[in-house]
Amino acid sequence: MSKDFYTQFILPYAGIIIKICRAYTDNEEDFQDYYQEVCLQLWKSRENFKGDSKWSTWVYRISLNISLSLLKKDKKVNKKSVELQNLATVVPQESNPFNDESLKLLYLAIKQLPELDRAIILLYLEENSYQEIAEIIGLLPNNIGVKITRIKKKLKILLDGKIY
Amino acid sequence: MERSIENIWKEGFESNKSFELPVVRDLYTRKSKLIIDKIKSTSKWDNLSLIPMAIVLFGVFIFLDKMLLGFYIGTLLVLLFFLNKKMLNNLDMFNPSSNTYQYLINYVSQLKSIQKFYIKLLAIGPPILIIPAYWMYFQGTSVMSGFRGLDIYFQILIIVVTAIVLSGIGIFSYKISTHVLYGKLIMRIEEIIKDMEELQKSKF
Repeated sequence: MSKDFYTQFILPYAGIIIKICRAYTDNEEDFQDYYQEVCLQLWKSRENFKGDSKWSTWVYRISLNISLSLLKKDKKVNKKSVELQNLATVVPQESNPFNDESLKLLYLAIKQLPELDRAIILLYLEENSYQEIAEIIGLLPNNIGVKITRIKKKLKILLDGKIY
Repeated sequence: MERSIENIWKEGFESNKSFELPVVRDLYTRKSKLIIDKIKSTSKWDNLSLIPMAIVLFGVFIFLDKMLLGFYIGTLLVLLFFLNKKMLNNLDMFNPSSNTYQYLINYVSQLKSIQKFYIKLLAIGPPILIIPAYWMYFQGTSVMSGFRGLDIYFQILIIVVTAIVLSGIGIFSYKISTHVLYGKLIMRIEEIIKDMEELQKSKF
């Protein structure tokens, strides 16, 4: 990965990668790993980007695919290691990278959603259109609106009275 | 008044504009570790499976009233277990923390040299070690007396052909089982090495 590629094609979109990786990780070490893997895959897949969509759409797609596949792998590894440990000793280490307490709570609520719902709400909050969300996720645009309404309801329940 | 999630997101990230970017370094350390761990655990279990195999075969040959043969095959398998164990211990001597790239290069090269060693061993081992087992198995039977009644050149021909077939079967089974158990993992390490070389060329 050249420094030019990093400066030109990753750094301006680092916010997207960070927001997505944070939603799928519970500690700083995993977050760093996910971020690095996304950067690496963006570099490796640079020749597959045909320019049919915006570069940011590509960044969202790669970030989500990588985060979901790493999460799947981690779940397998964790399942094995948890079996070897006393369940009571396994405490998730929550990192708190945000100054804003409400944002932190929102992230905690998002992390409680199913993986696909997490992806949809992140893309929605990032102000992507239904069409763009559908393209990234691979669903029909008509279904996106309905899904977002349901996810927002779930979040409202999870956050009820906790944020002001 | 309760804020909407859209506002929390927008305002939250505006106040977090200065948050630190993760440092991109040691891109392949974690990935390599996972693959090497997988190779280590597979090879450990692969090797351990020789012990129950030795016990079962020993039992089977005792049942067939061929105790000497059972002991012979069981001992061969146990010796193979200790030989494998020694080879695997040599692999563990590499230090992954010093330099991931160099570590992977050394690891793959050591793995390949172990494989070459076993291919040579299987080319020579089965004829030398299994032909006596045939002798033990057929000793005192009509098959053995029939064999002894053959012309000496024909006897040699049968032994040579059996030796070649045994070598072929040994090498073929080893290559197939190695490919099934370790093929993908070794391929992934080689891909990582290739990527790392490309990254180095880009002076990242």
